[in-house]
Amino acid sequence: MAAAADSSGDGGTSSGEKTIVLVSSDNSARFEVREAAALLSQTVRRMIDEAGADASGDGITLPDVDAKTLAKVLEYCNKHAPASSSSSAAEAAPPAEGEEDLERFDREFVRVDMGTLYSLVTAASYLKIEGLLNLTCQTIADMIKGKTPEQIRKTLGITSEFTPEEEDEVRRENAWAF
Amino acid sequence: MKNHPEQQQQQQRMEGEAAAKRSRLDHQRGLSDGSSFHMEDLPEEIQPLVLSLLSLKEVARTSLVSRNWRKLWTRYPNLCFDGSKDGPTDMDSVKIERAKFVETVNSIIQHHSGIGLNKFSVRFSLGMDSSDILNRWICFATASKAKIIAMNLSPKGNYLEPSKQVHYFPLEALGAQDGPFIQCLFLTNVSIKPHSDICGFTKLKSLHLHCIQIIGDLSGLLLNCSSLEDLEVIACSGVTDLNIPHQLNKLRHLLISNMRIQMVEFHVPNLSHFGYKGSVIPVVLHGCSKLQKATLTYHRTWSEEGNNKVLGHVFHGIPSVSAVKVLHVHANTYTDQPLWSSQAHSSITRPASMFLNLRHLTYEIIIFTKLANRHSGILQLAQYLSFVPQLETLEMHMLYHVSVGRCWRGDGISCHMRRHDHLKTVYMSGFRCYRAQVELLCGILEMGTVLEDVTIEPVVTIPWGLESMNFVSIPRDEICEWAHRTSQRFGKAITVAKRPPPR
Repeated sequence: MAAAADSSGDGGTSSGEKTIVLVSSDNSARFEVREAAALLSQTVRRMIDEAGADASGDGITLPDVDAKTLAKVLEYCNKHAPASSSSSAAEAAPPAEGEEDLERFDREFVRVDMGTLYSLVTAASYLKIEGLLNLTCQTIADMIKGKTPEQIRKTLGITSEFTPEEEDEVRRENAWAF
Repeated sequence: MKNHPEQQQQQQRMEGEAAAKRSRLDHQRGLSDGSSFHMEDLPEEIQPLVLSLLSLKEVARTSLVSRNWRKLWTRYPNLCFDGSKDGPTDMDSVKIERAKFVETVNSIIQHHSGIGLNKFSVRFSLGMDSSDILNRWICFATASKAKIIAMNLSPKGNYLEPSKQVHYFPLEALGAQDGPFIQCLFLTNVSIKPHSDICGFTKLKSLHLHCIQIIGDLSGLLLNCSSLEDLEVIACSGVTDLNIPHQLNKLRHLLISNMRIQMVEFHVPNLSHFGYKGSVIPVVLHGCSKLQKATLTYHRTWSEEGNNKVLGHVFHGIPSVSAVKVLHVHANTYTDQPLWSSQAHSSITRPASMFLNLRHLTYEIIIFTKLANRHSGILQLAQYLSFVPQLETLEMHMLYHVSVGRCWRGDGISCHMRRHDHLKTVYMSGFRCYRAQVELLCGILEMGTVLEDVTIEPVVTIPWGLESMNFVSIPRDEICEWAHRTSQRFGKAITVAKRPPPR
């Protein structure tokens, strides 16, 4: 079993701010993160609300997110988390970093292989992290925009199973778009 | 021992098996080497999210990529078609030339799966002999349970009233499925027959009726719109008053414009924005204590009585908006040969309620007259300022439509205001030192105890390009001189703006 991994140095505990432990699906990794970062996920927020005062140091297990993806997602959350957290204001508070800085981070963040992108968009949807979901969906959309069907196939590694007759049929159906 | 060859072999075999298993799983997910990506492997709720970031045309083209993508195209969530030649296009609409419009729309909806439809919108001059086509479109939209339906079937209409001949839009169609689905309904230039037995509207959040021939009981229809948050009724016919007797608890935005009605009465305890455009009529908004902003635009008044009423109508005739924080009033008055009278306005009785929450008041006033310095209309505002004791900002944008106008050189103040302890900022554009402007501003300077920023702008800033009709040239020097003199007289600074600020 992999050893417990700490979240990428955010030093949250040293400032005395509340932290939350998130556990990956296969129980292989535990991450301690600032509450503000964790609460970017509506799902985590709901889980905490439901657990109530019983939420112990055991941490919250996320059954649909594996360790590698969770690490990456938390990288996003840590960067985008507001400077301070309070249970209702966390959504409205601006992130601690500057906007340009965040944009640059986002651009780099999505420079990953398809498999990772897939895992990220799925995790963002499950965890209900709006910013990450928008970012990943937009990234996928950008890969498709402005490309011919052949180019799309190449970029995304897809083979078309259309017969020539089928292709003609589709082309005719949507003639107005071509 | 650690490096026993048998153990090593076993280890290698286990690792090989684990790798093979991973690879099989990956392959099942279509990610055999991490570099291929199958849209259809995305969770179902995400596919439309990604697609909606692409235009309708782009997604239609992707139907050629593979069989699975073809299926995705048939679930494109926003079908918005614009067959009109001019006018701005919605960001999510696709422009299709008139000759091919019907054929293209029909082809698309024929192949659409009906699943996942979010918005269906048509903007097109549909011939009056094509009701069957319209019905087909409506059938598709309702069978697919579109959340947003928008139809404008005469985009070339004048927007002041419904076109003479309009298609009929069957509201019943929205209740014919197994449960309510419609959330936003935007209709322009059609006719409807509302009544209280129509169902399917319980999820409706937003209803915009523009240039609609209303035949029936609109109030009855609204009875069933328990979730309504946003209502716009503009230039519709068939309604003599808007009297909605039951509570619309969720209504936050209400806009009534260009309606030939005698009165407006709503029960709207959570209303936040109210907009009205029309003639001076009674307006009652029961329980309206959370109002943030009200914008009232009055049609041109011609009679002396009308002119006198319009500027103050909100204070005397619409006490129910007295909780408002921000108020905009637009009025234009026509007085050919006015008679100066500072008394006529000061005999107005106190309002039914004071506007204690009002912080920001804006007036846009256009005055058509032959004699600018005899027109005392805006002096009324001196009175109204005492109805708004917590006001902090007063903005006045004026346009005197005159052919000749001279700066008033008198010094007296005929309007006597009550002391105002909160007014900090005053901005007056179109300030040409006409008598009423001078006297009003002097009155404010005299009685405003906490004034910080008083600015006058000679240029007219009322935003509909009437500057070109400003025949009079601007006597800037005279105005600056007046400002300087007056500043000294009252010991308060007056800034003369160099150019209009952005609005």
